[in-house]
Amino acid sequence: MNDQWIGDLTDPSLPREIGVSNPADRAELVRMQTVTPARICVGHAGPRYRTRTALRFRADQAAAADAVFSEVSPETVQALGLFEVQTLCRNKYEMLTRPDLGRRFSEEALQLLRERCVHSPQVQLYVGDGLSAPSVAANIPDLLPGIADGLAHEGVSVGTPFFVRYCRVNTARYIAPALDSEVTCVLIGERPGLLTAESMSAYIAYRAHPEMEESGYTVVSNISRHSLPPVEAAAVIVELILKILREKKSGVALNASDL
Amino acid sequence: MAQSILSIGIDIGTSTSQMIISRLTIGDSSGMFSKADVRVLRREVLYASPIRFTPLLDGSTIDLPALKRFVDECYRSAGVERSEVATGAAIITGEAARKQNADGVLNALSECAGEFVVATAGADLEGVLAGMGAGACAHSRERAGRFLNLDIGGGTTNAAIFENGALLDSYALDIGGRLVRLAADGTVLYVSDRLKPLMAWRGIGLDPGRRADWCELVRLCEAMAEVLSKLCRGEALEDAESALFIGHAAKADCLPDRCSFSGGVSEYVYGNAPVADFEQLVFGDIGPLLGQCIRERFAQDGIAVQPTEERIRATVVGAGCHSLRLSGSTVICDAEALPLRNRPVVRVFPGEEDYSRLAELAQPALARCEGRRACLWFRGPVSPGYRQILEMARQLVALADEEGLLTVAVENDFAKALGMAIRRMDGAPRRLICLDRIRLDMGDYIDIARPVAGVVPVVIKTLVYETPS
Repeated sequence: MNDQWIGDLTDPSLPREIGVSNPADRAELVRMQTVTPARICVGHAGPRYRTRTALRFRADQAAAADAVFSEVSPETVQALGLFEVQTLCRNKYEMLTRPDLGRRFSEEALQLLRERCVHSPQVQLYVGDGLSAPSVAANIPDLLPGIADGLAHEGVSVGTPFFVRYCRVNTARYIAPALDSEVTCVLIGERPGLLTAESMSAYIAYRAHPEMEESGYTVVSNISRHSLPPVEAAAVIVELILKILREKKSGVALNASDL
Repeated sequence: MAQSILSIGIDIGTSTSQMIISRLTIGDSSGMFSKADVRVLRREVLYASPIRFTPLLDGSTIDLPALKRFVDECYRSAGVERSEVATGAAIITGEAARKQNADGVLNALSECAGEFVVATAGADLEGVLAGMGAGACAHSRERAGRFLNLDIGGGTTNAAIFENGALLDSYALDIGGRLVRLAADGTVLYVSDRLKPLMAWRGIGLDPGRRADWCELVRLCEAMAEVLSKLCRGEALEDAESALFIGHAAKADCLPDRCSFSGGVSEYVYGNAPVADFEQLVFGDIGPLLGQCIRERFAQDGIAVQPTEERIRATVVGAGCHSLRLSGSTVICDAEALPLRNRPVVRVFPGEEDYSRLAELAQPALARCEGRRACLWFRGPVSPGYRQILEMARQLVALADEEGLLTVAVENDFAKALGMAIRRMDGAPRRLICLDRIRLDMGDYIDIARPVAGVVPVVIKTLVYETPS
């Protein structure tokens, strides 16, 4: 196929298409598309998608899958001013199939963390690839300094940030005891959707430990330039962390204290 | 969590005045896993006053003590204390909005109506509020097409066209039920001068002091109905018809698909009792006849007319229930600086936005505001970078007013980040209001209330008075 003609189907700047043939009210279909990112008004060929719709769908799905399987390059980690540790997973495949390994570290890795990081900070921030490697480069340059500066201004001590390869959220259960952090906040790539592969979440826990409940995490999700902009997310996270420090609890227990 | 506040609406029109008290429920409408999306979830009218003739001293000057008594009475009958009312708007229109009246009314209302009741004026704004109160704005959000609401009162017709919940155009005309007033026996008491060109063109004779010929009254009302019909169908108006526009004409390229009516005359557009002689003109004016002529004309011309939620109360419901806007849910505000009233808006960038020139462009405009008290506004990027936020904060930090309060509003969602960055700067202002999800323009004024359910309610208004023509 002539690829100059078909172009890059995953290019986000491509206009959305009205696939309905001979619509009675084209302007209304365009308006309907503005209220949802879902693939509506794409038309059909008999009982199936049109070729272009099907290709675009598969292209977006492939981009999502690529985001899961790709790696954060060492150059990216360096450019962010972070050092790197790895969980017990040896590769991406293991990370996806063995959640138990994606949360734990070797004794050497923990030793490295203890050597290079400030101990007993009020807040330990770190970055994980999770299920989307591209989300790290897309969000961390605006997210991490925003949180760190915001907390420092409030007189909160912030630990030494680092990057965890093959990272799952529950690394927090082991990071917190290793560094004796009061609040632990992991900024981690989210499972990509068909809309964006660059979203990340912040999982925040007060005194995380290996036996904690999942409900102990406070979450800020959908951080990306398409949804909650990273700079604004940083401000939201700063405020949440201050509240968690004040209340000395996180997750469902924190929400319950609002009632 | 949802919170409710009380809001009042006051409509002081050419012929009638009314007041409502409503309860607005404000809360998060988002799902569990997304960021808060705080909106007005419910609007309930708790009290609606009787509809009174606007108290006048001499035909055009408002009787302020009588107006205050009316507001006092309404509060008493509703069983609501002024201090419980969080927000609201009073709209002054038609003859009542002439400059000398409006100033007096503004002062009188700020004393008697409540701490945060905003006074507004302007026929165009009245049309917009009426369109919202009548439900045309909400309908346009739910269904395809352009929805025109015609609010036909005693002195004027105020039109607003909505599409997808947004205002496309608003305008006003000298078409109303009390432009001709009659005694019980049909003697003409008053004919508005503004009708003279139309009457001369149509050859209609009505002389004060003489008994009106019923056929002439019908011809006059038909002539007015035809103007409205032409506007709905996009047909060109004759000069004598265009002369009825107040201030400016309707936009040419903005034809409605459906229309609805509100205002006193609309009771007769939607009613179907025949109006056949002077006895049926129960208010001593042509309102009922005008309503009937419009109903017949629109049916004849096949224009889609749809029912409205509010008729005579549309404007006051609009003022009481729909004048409020809400900021985004992640903002920065020092609540002790609130409420703020009548902050002129300084739109920093007329076109392209260059944040390195924020201070340079804002300073001269601020210097023109009394005490440098203003609300700075710009759009801002959809997803700004952290460096951009710091640059904006550096530029904004020295732009506080004489009391050390900096007021900033932006359109896109980054006010919390910007506000926090400003607070961290050297020489940060003593107090800070930084709001997002707000769209303003030069010439607007903004009132900012205390936060409710995590968002900040604001009322945006344009203080444009009618100038006597």
